[in-house]
Amino acid sequence: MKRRAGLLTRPGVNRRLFGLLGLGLLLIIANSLGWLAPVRNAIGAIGKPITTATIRAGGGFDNFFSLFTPISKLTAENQKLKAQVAALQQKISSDTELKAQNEALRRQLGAGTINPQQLAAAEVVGYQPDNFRQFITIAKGSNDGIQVGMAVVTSGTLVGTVQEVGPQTAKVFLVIDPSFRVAAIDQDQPDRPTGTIHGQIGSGLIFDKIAQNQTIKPSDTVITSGLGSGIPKGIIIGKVQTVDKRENGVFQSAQVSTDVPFSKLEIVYVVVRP
Amino acid sequence: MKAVGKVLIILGLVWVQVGLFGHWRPLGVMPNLMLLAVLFFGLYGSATTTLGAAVFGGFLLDNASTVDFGLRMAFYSVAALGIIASRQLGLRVDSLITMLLAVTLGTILFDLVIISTVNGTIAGNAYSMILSEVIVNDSLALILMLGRTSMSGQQSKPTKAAWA
Repeated sequence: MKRRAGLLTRPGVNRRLFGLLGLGLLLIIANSLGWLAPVRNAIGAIGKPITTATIRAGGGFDNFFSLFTPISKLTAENQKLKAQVAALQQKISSDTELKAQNEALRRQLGAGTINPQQLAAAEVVGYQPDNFRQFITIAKGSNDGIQVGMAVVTSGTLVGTVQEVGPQTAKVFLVIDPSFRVAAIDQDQPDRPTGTIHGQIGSGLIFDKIAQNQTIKPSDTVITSGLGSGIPKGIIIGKVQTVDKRENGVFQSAQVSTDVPFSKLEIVYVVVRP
Repeated sequence: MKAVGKVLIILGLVWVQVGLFGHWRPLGVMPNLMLLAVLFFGLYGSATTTLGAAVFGGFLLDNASTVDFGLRMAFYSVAALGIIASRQLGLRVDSLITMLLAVTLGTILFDLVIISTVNGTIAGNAYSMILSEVIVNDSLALILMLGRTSMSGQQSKPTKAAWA
């Protein structure tokens, strides 16, 4: 009886298979030595227009499916937004006076804040290809003055920081990634509780390492503290949803929600250092 | 199918995965198109094509990713070798049930590998995300298999010639 040739007894096929495995191993080693950077940058540049087109197609899909949103849901959302508008109008009127005072004080102290000239708009051209790590690729790189560690925002809210820069593209580490860490302050409490914001696999942000003796309440606004990173102070991160305070715990923590639609980003703004 | 066609398929899948499915996520999750491609090539293509797709597709996805370079290339290569070995052992791997089982197992293992590399907390709904991804991947595999069956008229059997 003729026996079927096994994987290790077919030299032609085996040579190709081992060759491919060897190639994979070589690529990993070359990347760890930094030799692949030009190749990776070239692939990123070539794929940029195509991924941009597919992202736009994704936006079209979104718009199509949003047509089927129930009217009752839209009505409820409309009422909620009207209430928010009323509250914001009230806030604007009280903030105008505070803004004038703040600007006068800043001039005296020489302190800075983000101004529109510091923001570089960048199109999102790619997403992290899995569900658990959170990165995006943007169509601006070192040729446009982008550097590692710069903050990235949208609608005044923190999106993440630049993690890796190529000549034409850069990769942004999103604030919702479980490994992301940024120092933060609860700006609505008089004692200004400080802690660390990080993402978690699945959903949401955690405001952690807050001292037990500090007060933190739902709907408080959490902003960056500017400590220990290149992220400027005062960028909005999100709002406190629930507080987890345990009697015997060293720290308390809170769930924070952000308004940034991370899977639907099209344009983001890099805070370019002056 | 010529080699150029296969390369274009892999490129297309990578661009759709990091572009379209990054933005529009069915059931809130991104499907694993490359896993489906590797398993499909494994069932119907040659061993070289399967491993070639795994290495090339994995490299492109690793390139699109910022962390863990090599992880996807390694995972898809192991998946490719697994399906090659299954065919080598004479198992009937081209049935619908086998494909769905392979996709389910591959998706769960891939997600667990990715989660194991993350240094951070895991929310309860991470597991529901894995379940959603299994449903989406299996649905796509089902469409792929039914489409192939309706086009060819019948399911193919593994042939010795396919190993060249």
